[in-house]
Order: sequence, then C-alpha cells, then structure tokens
Amino acid sequence: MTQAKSEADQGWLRRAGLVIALLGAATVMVPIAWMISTSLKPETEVFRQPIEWLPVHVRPANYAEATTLIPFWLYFANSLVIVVPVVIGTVISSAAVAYAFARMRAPGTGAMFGLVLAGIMLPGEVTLVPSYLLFKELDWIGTYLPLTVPAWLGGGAFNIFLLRQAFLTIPPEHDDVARVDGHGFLKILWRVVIPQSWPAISLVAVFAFVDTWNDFLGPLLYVNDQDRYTLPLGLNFFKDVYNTQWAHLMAASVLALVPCVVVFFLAQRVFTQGIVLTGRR
Amino acid sequence: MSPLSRRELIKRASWLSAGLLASPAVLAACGRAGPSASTGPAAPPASASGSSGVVTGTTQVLVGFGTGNAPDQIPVQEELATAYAAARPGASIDYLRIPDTDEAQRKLGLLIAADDAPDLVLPTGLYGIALYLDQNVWQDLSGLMAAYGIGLELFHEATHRAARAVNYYGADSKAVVGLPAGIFTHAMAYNKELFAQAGIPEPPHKDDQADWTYERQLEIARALTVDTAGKSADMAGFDPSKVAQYGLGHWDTGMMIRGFGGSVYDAASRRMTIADDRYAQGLQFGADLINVHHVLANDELAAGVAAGADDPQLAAWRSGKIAMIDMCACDLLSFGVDTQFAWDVAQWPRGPERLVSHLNLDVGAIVQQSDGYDAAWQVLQFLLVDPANGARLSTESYGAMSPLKAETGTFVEELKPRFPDVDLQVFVDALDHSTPEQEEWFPAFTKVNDMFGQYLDAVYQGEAPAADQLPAYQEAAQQAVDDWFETHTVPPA
Amino acid sequence: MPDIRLSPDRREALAAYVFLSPWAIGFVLLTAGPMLASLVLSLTDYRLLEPNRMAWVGVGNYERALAGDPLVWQALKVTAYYVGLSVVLELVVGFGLALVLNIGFRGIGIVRTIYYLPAVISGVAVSLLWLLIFQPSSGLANAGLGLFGVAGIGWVYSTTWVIPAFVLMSLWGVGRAAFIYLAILQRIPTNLYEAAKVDGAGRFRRLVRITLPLVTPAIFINLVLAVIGKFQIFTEGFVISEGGPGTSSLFYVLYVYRNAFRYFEIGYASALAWILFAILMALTAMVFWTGRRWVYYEGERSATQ
Repeated sequence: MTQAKSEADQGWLRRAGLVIALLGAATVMVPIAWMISTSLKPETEVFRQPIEWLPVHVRPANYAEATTLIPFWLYFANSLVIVVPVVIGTVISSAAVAYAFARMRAPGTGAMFGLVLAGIMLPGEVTLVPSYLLFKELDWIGTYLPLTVPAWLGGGAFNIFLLRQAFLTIPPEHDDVARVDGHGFLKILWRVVIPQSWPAISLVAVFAFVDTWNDFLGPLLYVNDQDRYTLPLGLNFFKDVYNTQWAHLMAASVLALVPCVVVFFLAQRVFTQGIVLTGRR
Repeated sequence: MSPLSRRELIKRASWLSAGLLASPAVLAACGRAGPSASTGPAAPPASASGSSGVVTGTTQVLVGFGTGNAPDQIPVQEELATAYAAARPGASIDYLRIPDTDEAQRKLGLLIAADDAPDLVLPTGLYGIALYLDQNVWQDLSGLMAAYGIGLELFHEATHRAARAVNYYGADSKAVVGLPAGIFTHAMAYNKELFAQAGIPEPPHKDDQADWTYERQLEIARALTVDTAGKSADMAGFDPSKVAQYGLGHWDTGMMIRGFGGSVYDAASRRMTIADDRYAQGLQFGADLINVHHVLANDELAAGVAAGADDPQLAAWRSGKIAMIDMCACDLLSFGVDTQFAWDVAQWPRGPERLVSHLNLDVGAIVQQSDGYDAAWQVLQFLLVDPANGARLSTESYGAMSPLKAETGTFVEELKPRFPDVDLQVFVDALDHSTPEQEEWFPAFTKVNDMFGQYLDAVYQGEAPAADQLPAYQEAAQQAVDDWFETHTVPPA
Repeated sequence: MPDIRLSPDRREALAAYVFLSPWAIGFVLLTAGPMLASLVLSLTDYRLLEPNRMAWVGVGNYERALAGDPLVWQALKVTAYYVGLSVVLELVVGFGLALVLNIGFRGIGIVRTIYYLPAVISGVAVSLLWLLIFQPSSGLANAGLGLFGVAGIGWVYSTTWVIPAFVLMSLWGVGRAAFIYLAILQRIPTNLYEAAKVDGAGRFRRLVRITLPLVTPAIFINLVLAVIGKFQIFTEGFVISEGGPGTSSLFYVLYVYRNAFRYFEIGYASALAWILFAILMALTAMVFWTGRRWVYYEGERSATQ
C-alpha cells in the first residue's frame, strides 16, 4: 500500500496544506499564463494595459508563423537528436557510477567523490577557453559530440550525487539476499537497487531531458552550422537588440516546452507507483 | 607485485595522465598563433589582386554584433548572398549567425583564440569594434581601399572619425578599421497634441535656430510636465511626487554632456577628461532634469506613469505621457508605431558649447586572423560600396540610413509610406551635427564604463552633486587608463 | 568475476573501478585538463588574444583579488546574501511543498507538473518574463503586493530589493528541489507510519521522528547542491540587472565573466574562479563533516561519507 493511500484520513491539516499548495501552483502559473496569453495576441496588443489575460483578438496564426519565421521543426529535430542519446547515457552511466560510490569500498573512492563534486565548483567561465581548445584538438567542434559524449561519461555531478543518495537509502540487507544467491554487483544493481529507485532514476531522466533540451550555451559554443542549431538558439532569433517579437517568441517558447511537459507528466506517474516494501526481492 | 605498490602505481599513473592531458590544453591556450600586440596591425601583403580578377573562396560573415538576425532582416541578406555568388563565380558568402549579442562578442574571441576566426563581422556596432580594437583583431582596410581606389569620401563625413578609430590610430593615421554599413541618427520626437493643448509652438525641424537651446527646451519641458492636479512644473504648488505627464523621457543625458563641451578622453595627453568643468556641468544639468526640475522621467518614473511594456519609456510614450523623447532612427519601429496621437520629429537643441546629437554607426570589418581577406574585401565592396546593394542592405535589412553619400536619401523614400506625417528629413539633416563619439574606444573603456554606475548613479538619483563624485571617478578611470598604457601601446602613426 | 584468486575485498575494489570508469575517463579526458589549465593560467597574466605577452605572476592575481580589488569583496557579499536567503527558503519551502505533493489525490499529477513548469521554460523567455513582472508600476509583482494593500517597491531598480527579487525568482523554481524530496519521500515504507500510529504518535511526532530523519539524505543533497549552484548564479543576473543598480547585484560569477570576456584578463578571472572554488570546497567539506551527525542512511556501507 502506498503512503498516499494510507494517509487517506481526512485531516484538516492535509486540506490546509493542499489549499496552500494550490494557491502556490496558481502563483507559479501566472507567468506561464501570461506566456500563453501573449502567444495568442497580435503583436501590437501584447502590452495593453490593464493586462488582458484573455486576448481580445485571438491570433493562432502566431503559432504557424513562429514555425516558419525560423526553421522551427529543423531545430526541434536537432534538439531531439541530441537529447535522446544524452538521456540514455546519463541514466546508465550515472547509475553505474553512483552505485559504486554508494555500495562499494575501494581505495581512493573517497577522493574520487570529492573530485566529482569539485568538478562543479569551478565556474565554467574560466574553463571555457581551455575546453574549447581541447575539443578543437579532438576535432569535435562543429559536431554534437561535445554535447553528447559527457553524458555517457558519468552524466554529471548532480546526477551521480542524486542517485548515490537514493541508493544509500536502500538497506544493504536487500543486497545481501541477492548476494547469497551468488549474484554479482551488476545483477544486484539491476535486480535489487534499480527497481527500488525508480523515482530517483526517473527524476534523473527528466532533469537530463529538460536541461539538455533547454541548453543554450552548449550548442552556441560548439555548433557553427546554422542548420544544426537547436531550439534554444532558434528562439533567440526573435529577440533583437532593437525589437523583440514577443508574440512569436512566446508562441515558439510554448511549443518548445511541450515535449518537456509531456516527458515530465509521464515520468511523475512513477512517483505514485507503489514502492516496494522491505523484504521483497 | 604486492597490492600496495600496484595501487600506488595506478594512483601515480592517473595523476600523470591528468597532467599529460592538461598540458596540451595549456600549451594550446598559450601557443595559439596570435599576432604580437606590440607592433601595429599588419598591412595586407602586396598580393592583393587588382581590380580585374575575381577572388574565389567562401567568406564567413559573423552576424550578431548588434542587429542583423531578426527574421525579417535575414531574407535581404540571403538575397544579396545569392546575388554575390552569381556575380562572382567561385566565391560565396556563408553567414555565421549568433542570435545573442553578448554571446556573439564572446564567441568571436573564442574563435580567434582557437584559430577558427570568421573572415568578416558585419554589421557591428561601434561597441563591438571598440571591444576588440586593442587586441589587434581588426584588419586595417586602408591598404585594400587604396589598391581598389575606394576612399572614405564615398561615405558621409560623420562616419569618418569612427571608421578611422582616431583615438587609437591617431588623428594623422590613414588606417581604417571598418567600412560604414548603416547609420542611425537621432532626432527629438514630440507629441503634437500635448504641444497644441498647452499652446506651445512646435520645436524647429531645422538646426539653424539659434534660440533652440537646452534652456529653452527645459522651459518647454516644465510647461509640459503636469501633475495629477493639473499643475505644470513651472507653477507654484506643483507636486513632483504626483506627476502624471513628463516633459522629457527616453533621454540621452550623455549627449547633453557633450553639448556642454564635455568629453571623456583626450588622446593627445592620454588623460581622462571627466573631471573637467564642462563635463561636470553637463552631467549635473542632466541629473537636475530628473531631480530638481522633475521634467525628465527615468525608467522607474516612466514605469510609474504608464504601465509595463518591456520598456517603461516605450509604454509611457505610447500612452501619451511624455511630451518629448530622444528618438533614434532605430526606434522608429518601436516608438514610432502604435501611438494614439499625432507626433513629429524635430532637431535636438543646441548645448551651451555645441550642437550635437548621437550617431549610431554600424560598420563591416575584416578580422585580421582570417586567411581570406582578399575575398572578404570583395564581399565588403559588393555589399557596402556598390550603391544599390549598400542601400538595400542598410535600409531594407538593417532599417538604417545608407552611409553612402549618394544614397542617404533612400532612407526617407523607404520609410515615407510607413510614416507619412513625419518629417523624416530631420533624420537626414541631423547628419550635419551627429557624432558617434559616445561609443568611441579609449583605453580600458570597458572597465571605465563598468565603473560608471558605481560612481555616478548617486548623481542621477539626486543623492550627490556631480562635483563631489567626479573626482573619484576621474581618479579610478585615469588609473585604469594608466594601467592600460603599461601593458599596451597605441600603434605608431 | 572469473578470477577466484581475488579476495572479496579486491573483487569489490575492482568492480568499483570498473563501475567508476565512465566517470574517471570523462574526468581525466574532459574535465581535469581544462581545470588544471585554468589553475595554471591563474598564475599568469594571460589575456585572451595576446598569448605572446603572457608572463608568470605567481600569486599576484590572488593578492590583487583579495587585497586590491574592493569589487571582489562586494561581489562575495552580494552573492553570499543571495545564497543565504535563497538556500534557506528553498530548503524549507521545498520540503513543505514535497510533503503536500506527496499526497495522492486525483489531479495531483497536474499540480506537480505545474510546479515543474518553471524548470522547463527556456532561458530567454524566463529572464524577459521576470523583467516584466518586476516593473515597478504595472508589473505583476507589485500588483500582487497591491492585493494585500502593500505599496509597490522598486524590485530590480532598487538597491535594497534587487537581491530579494532574485530570491523570489529562484523560489519560483522550487519545484525542482521539491521533487528530489519527493523521490525520497516516496520510498518511505508506510508500515513505519502505521506502527507509529498504533503507538499513538500524533501527526507532528510522525513528521519529526519518521519523515524528517528519513528525508535527511535529500536535505543533504539539496543543501550541498543549492550552495554550490546558487553561489554561481550568472545568467539571470546578467540579463536582468547586469550587476546594478550600482553594484548591488554584482554576482561573483558575473564579475568573473566581465574580467574574462569584457576586459579579456583570463589570468585574473581564473584566479577569481579558483578563489570561489576554495570557498565552495570549504563550505561543502563543512556540510559533509557535520552531515555525519544528522544525515541518516539506511544503506551506509561505502567509504565515501
């Protein structure tokens, strides 16, 4: 039985918490509502005061235009080409690495974990130039490799750390049951640890998807061919130093966030799936 | 081997390989063939082909140092690229579009450091030129211009000083850092209805009026700044905390400083001149417009009278809450549309020492590290010197005035249909007293500009007089300039 | 493992290295190099496009930063203020939110998605949106205050309120931290609560005695990552206020960026970055060290505590 179902008592505290959360959700939605509302207005009506939440003149053509003023679907496809290998690579490699940190003893792993964290403590601004030169030596500039390969090499400190924490909450007795059966580390990871960590793993997948989908700086630095630009770069074309095309920018932004919303919505179901009780293999 | 030493070995091997792998990165960073900064920019070799042969090759043009990447600006640039490939068989243009100005400026540095420099940067505002000017990034075009018989006289005089980067190369140098690609002059847009209501004659459209001064403008502004009770700023009982309408907004107080004769840097003496009396007076005058006379709306005040567009000044102007604004020709498509009232443009008034207004200049520049400067020059010639192409690029794509003397008039023709009731000739006439000095390079200019807020925000907030803050700013700025001269030299004349 | 001569300990160590190899390869190949390079550069006066002029200055850059550049301390002050406020609020609000989002009523999926939306919107749109929201007269922020009868404030135009404005912006994205709590909360077996209820433990007691301790791994990671991440805030500061008004929102990484790409002093900027590194190292070490006391893991076994 999930925690959710067992807490089905109608406490007033629970209701109060829900109300506050709903109010919070409404507040969070406000900028997003403005985005959607703006995306349907003609450009000249975007800033009418007082704010018109429901557009007076609805202009769905903004969406069609947003996809033709810039090569929207080309950029969409490019983003997809990058995101898929990144998500797969991140989940696999960060799970493996985090598992080692959480479950295995070996000399030097403490220092290594320190290095994992150290990697995100140095502001990227100053490693930009050496990194760029390094990728140049490897001949990766102009390709997607600088963006996809790091995902397979550990997936980033954040994900390693997150999964390590998640794995550490699984009692080691579960492992022992499997080990007694003669299973090696890999099988334990696959059969015991991962099935109990779906919430964390799905979170890693979602974060990897969203962060890569919205990555502006990476493609900007390493991709020089406009035909291979990704969506965040494409959106910036609507923003000019003299004039921003708000309606089209919002329309394109709304379209751009649909995949992320879908991915998240699907993934968060995993959060509500029943979790394994102690003792179950 | 015992386990202990095996582990030690692994540890040492990892450190060694990390070090080995780090060194290429360091060496690469250090050993990149950058030009030595002590000598001046290299003149192009004598192999520049004469005017007969076509230079083949692809020229990479970086677009993003300012404008040029908006969806409606791109088609004309693409058409011109096609026309170029047709007119010069074997040659072509490849645009590298970076849709964010700061990132574009950063990426140029990165590309140069990695030996991947683009050939041309077009268009670039003067800030972009100045940012890289002392890094030997821009090719001196004078050699190529001489070889092809192109002179700066083709372009309006107002652009010459900036195109020659006089503060850097010296007033006597023939060096040219970029070819003018588009100019935006400034006029003063005014709300005709507010003037009519107050019974004030409209400001002059010609710049020969001796009595159209800052003082006169201040008088008018006071009459046109009205509080919620209907009292104007020149009446007793005016309440500055309840202003409903401002006389001035979207203003360039920096240009007013120049009207007082103030300047920022003197190349001959290598001194910053911001502690000069005239600069102080000009600065104080501008600040007083906000805090003493209450006629000028800064961003916060503008946001208080009319509501939130992405630019509060724009919102205030559009709602008819500001009587006079500084309008760049580049603002025509934002401030000039969706107004609910009749408006027109007049000339900027003259300051106590000078009649001056700002000029935004875009140029095309060749990157010195590029190998294909011949082809790049060919592109520049095709796009900017050819009158038809130049006018198309400047006006249709960038929305600017063509800097070619013969073509400045096309600006009025192009825009007349969109702005039938506006005296666009004012923008053209403003060329006579326009100057891009505000964006000129001087040593350590990014540092000095970044310090501006630190020292002078208080003046603009009315918390301290200019005379108190300027000496400290002058000292800090001069220190930055002196530091610059310790590690750099300007090129020999 | 076919080699039965290896003891279980060595087998474990070997397995560890094998599992860690992706990260190790990536670190050595892609991360360590640039990091070491920037460390070396911080000991020089390297300017981006003038490599021939580079000279060794040893700790000169560090001296200049700590003793001769007041903007460094200003930036540290500003950033520390931001980090202090936003980390604490995010921890508290995030946890509370997670508790609520944990409830399984119908439609909770949509509510969760709404809280996650801020993380999902692309950067351009977000920064521009917030500029609008913070407009003093007509922006939604002051309109919201107006609903409670509070007078409008200057937000990003005011030296007092600019940092709180950024904190508010970061709170908008609190969903991201909340979901990390949620992932851990979901794992708490319900029989623990049942047993406690049977023992007569009230709601608050159950929260403090069961939920809180079991969630400490999530609190821990959120704390560490929040401190490391928020100390490096850059993009929002760059787009929205550019360090102003004055220097009241001059975030540290913004100052690093300026030195690196506006003044082109890569050497000095690298030194600044490594100073931040040292600070973050110290802070993280502190959190880890105290973490031994208050973080509770059920699966502790490894050496990486």
